[in-house]
Amino acid sequence: MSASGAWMVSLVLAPLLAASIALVVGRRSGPYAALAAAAAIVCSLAGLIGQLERHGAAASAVGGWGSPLGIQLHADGLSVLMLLMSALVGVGVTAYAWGYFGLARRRDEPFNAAASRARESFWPLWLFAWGGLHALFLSGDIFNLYVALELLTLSAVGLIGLANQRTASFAALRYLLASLVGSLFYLLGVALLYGEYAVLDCQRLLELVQGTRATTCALALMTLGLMLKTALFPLHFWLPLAHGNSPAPVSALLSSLVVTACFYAILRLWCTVFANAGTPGAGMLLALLGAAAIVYGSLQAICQQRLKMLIAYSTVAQVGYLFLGFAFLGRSASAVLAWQGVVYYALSHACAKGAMFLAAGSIMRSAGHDQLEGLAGIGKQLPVSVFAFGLAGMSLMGLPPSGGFVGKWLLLRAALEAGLWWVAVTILAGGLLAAGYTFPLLERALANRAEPWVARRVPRGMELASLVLALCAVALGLVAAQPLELLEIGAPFQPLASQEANP
Amino acid sequence: MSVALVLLAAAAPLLVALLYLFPKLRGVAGAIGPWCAAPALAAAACVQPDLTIEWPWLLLGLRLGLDPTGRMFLAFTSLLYLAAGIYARSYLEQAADGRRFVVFYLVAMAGNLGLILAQDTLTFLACYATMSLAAYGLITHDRREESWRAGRIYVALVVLGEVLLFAGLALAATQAEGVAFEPMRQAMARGPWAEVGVTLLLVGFGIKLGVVPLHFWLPLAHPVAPTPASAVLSGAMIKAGLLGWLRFLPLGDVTQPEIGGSCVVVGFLTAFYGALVGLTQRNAKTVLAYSSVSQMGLVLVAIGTALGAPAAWPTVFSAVALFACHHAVAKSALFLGTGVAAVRFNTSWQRGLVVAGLLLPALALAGAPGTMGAAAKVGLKYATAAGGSAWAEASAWLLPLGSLATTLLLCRFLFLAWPRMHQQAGPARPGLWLPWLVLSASVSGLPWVVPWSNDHLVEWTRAASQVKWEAIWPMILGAILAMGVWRGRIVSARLAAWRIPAGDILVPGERLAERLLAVWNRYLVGTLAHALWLLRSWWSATTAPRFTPRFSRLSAAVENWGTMGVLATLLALALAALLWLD
Amino acid sequence: MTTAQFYALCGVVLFAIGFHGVVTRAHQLRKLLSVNVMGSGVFLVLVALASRATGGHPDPVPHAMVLTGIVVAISATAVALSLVRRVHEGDAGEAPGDDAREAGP
Repeated sequence: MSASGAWMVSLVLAPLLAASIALVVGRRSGPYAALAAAAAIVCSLAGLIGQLERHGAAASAVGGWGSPLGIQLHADGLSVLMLLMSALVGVGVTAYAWGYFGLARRRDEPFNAAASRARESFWPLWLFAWGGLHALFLSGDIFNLYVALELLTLSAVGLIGLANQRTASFAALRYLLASLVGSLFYLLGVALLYGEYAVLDCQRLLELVQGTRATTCALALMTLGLMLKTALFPLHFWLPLAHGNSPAPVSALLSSLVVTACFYAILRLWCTVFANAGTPGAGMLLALLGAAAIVYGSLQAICQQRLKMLIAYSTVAQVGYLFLGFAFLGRSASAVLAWQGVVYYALSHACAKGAMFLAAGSIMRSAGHDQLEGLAGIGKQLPVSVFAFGLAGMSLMGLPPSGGFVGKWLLLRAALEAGLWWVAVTILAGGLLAAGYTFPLLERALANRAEPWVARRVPRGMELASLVLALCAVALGLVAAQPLELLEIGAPFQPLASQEANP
Repeated sequence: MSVALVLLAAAAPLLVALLYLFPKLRGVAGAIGPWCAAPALAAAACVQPDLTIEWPWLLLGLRLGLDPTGRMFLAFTSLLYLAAGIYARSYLEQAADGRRFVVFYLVAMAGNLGLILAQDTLTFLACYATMSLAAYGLITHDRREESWRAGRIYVALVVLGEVLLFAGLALAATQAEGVAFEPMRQAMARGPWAEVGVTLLLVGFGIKLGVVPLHFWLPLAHPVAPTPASAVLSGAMIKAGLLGWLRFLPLGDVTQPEIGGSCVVVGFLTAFYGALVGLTQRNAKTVLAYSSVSQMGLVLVAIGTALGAPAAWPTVFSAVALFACHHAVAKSALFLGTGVAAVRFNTSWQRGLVVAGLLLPALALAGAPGTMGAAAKVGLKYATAAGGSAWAEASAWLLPLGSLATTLLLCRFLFLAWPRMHQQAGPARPGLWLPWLVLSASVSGLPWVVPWSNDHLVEWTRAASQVKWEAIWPMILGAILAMGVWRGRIVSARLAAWRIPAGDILVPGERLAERLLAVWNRYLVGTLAHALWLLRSWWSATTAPRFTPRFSRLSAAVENWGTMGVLATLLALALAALLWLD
Repeated sequence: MTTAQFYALCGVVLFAIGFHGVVTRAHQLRKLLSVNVMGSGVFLVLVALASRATGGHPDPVPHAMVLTGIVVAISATAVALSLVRRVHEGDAGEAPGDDAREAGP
């Protein structure tokens, strides 16, 4: 096995191994297993990036068993950037959860069976999800993509269920059912595709796929299933409930990583497997849905009374931005620029949204609730969290200097170059609307409070974790050149750019 | 050496703001905080204006530097921040949360100085946004209901401005090679959508300058902000919008007569509208805010002239830069003066000094001979005349009228701000009146101290020291009129009591917005929800519930299994069809 | 139409029936069963595809996929059942419906 292959396997295996240890040993091993996994992931990612920068995109068949029966791994710039996102947010969330779930019950805290169960179950579930994410990002064939998606979904459902309330169980169930429906749509598409070409490997499929009837059906089914899992408007019905009612670190993971991972699957399909079958008309439909998502999600976020629901609806809106890239299908000149913008936006959105949910978790822990009305003066209690929330909001609005700005800048330039005015207007309007749902909290946070606070103490690590993630979102705006260079490895969008040449 | 000075100028406020993170260092930070603008002032004084520092790995290629335009802006901006910073320390001595103010102040300063030193588009935009957002903290510092309202409206306009700039600059960037100023300006001049880009920039930066009809944040924000914040807001921050125009508009390069003409019209409209509405105000700081609106209208006139006649650009540039410098110093001196005038002075000569200190910048704004204001007005006259078209003739008689309006407005201000015996007010502290007096004095002293390198400026400064009838008649007439209104009651009592609420057009605007919201809820949201329930009833026999048409309620109609199922099926069919047909 | 194609068509029909069920049934258990029906439909399609013999032997890859799919389906069903129980706990008698909850105002 090549060096890059070893790094890839280690990226998938480390969290899974740590999860198994946390599950079997139980008790207090979880946080330490997660720490070890995080260290291993960061090292492996660094190693993988080093290898890829030297040798370009890499493929590896695990144990010598490649597609279709074995596991085929593949890494290029796109997967590396997604892995980077997962490492950033993952480490941040791990640090946060360390404080959120606590290593042990504090002396002043009454014993609570459910809390103690959540404290123990969080770690293996999160590590399984982390492993699933990496498997998804590195997957080189479409069936393994399905398996990784399911691993991710099942652990995510478990994570949502950790909050021991009926609403949370209800949300988890709805998410599970919706997600299963989505997966089955995807699997049916895989079946049709295999029936047509008898191949599962993404790169091979890219060479073989033609616009036949079965291929068309397969693409429609797979895209629809993944749209459901990505919560693209109007199929987002499960998201606000699930993201708004989970424990804070879980909401952060779901909104920043899980949703983006499902989008990654769509992007991977359209830009490699189906680069020759995707049509501008279908792309335009997806982009229009994205634009509708931005408007609908933002307006709903502005209407919300609860902080976490507000952030959840903001995710509905931000997912829309990711789909705007599909408007550029068949416009080779600006397509690459647009997709760079989209991927960069996904990266910075993950950091910003993670920071937002983590900050909201700290606020909820301190105030005991997340009703916006009752949060006047929270800025005095939790200045760091409120600042983190503000920075993250700045990135969502697309104000410079932030990662969101760079993403929007690239996307906007592409839209103007291609003459897609409505895309440009949507991008800009989305920024305005984002201000509409960021500032209400900031205003209340800065306000004076008449009655004194009965605030619970929030561990410092939690506040710092959210701040670090928010700073990452800003830093992505400051050092944009390097990540964009990384994205170029293996030219992941080449098939789309050369689409016009061989229709 | 000069590189280090420029870097220090940009970074000093930010570094000191960071010190506040560490409780032990807050004392140190508090002590050096007011002096953070000093390196910038030193840089403006010492560094040769041809310096560029490049860091290609930052922000898609960061470039900092100092050019002649930047040097001028850096000089008056840092002077203002220095004076207001020292003033603020005394002003907020007893305030409970002075620390919060200082942090926002420092961040705003960092943004403002940074955007002057920026030599590429993205750095400029980043600093501009930082400054604008930090000013939100300054405006809402008092946390009263009206400060929140002012803050909300300010932020809405800031974000709107950012969005417009973002669009305009992205439009230019599609044509430009790189994001330095020069290629961007070239693209603005020649790209296929040049007019759209120029308009977007004019409006986007115009919001900051308070160009009618997007001026209404100014008269709301200024009175509620603490005095030193109003001073830098009106003196330095709104000039950032002007600098934006100077950096990105293709001035002196192409002729855009339609846009230029509209600018001249809107500029004069702003100048007179601001002055007239300002006359009805009851708060001294609101009057000053309207005066800023009015004065910036004159700047827009000059810019419009240059857009119409590129040949006039060198003259216009000198005039605009001088005007900005003069207005910054004079206006912030007046703002600081309102704070000083409200303090308890014991002896009559102290009160006399306060009156003199208020009168001097007021006279300068009106354009009295011997002040920088007179030089600026001479410059403006030459600039509009250099346009050489019909506008030049119109300007020749509109400018004196503007001067008359300014004089009336300043009389109104002096009437409101005149130092009275305040029983409850605190004692005068040197930290308050010293920086203010320095600013007031520089209004008249500065033009003769600064070694102007520009021929125009030397000439106008000389012209300003002579008393000419055509320059001073509007002032004298204005003073007589004001006296007549005050003592002679030449205006009816009803007219004198007439009052337009601060933020003028905002009030009907808000009412209109409420109406529109009601219509949107009633027709669009209601219809949409009904359609969704109908769709859903294809599959499952559920009856549509009673629905109050409000957007938040739409979620119940969209977010359920039934609607999802129908829409998913339709989407799958549509996708397949689009994939198949294309 | 060959036998294999007929089975594949049956699979697609099962899939559609399952989807209709999961969307229209309010009861959570029925939704879960409908998802399982959808799954069976997909598996049927896969098995039907396997008969497209290469040299007389059925293709082993779809079988492997079905086996993996069944494992996933079983674990998902187990998780869902435990969640249904948790939602159901506490409200005796009332059917644990999904859409009943959102019909609200």
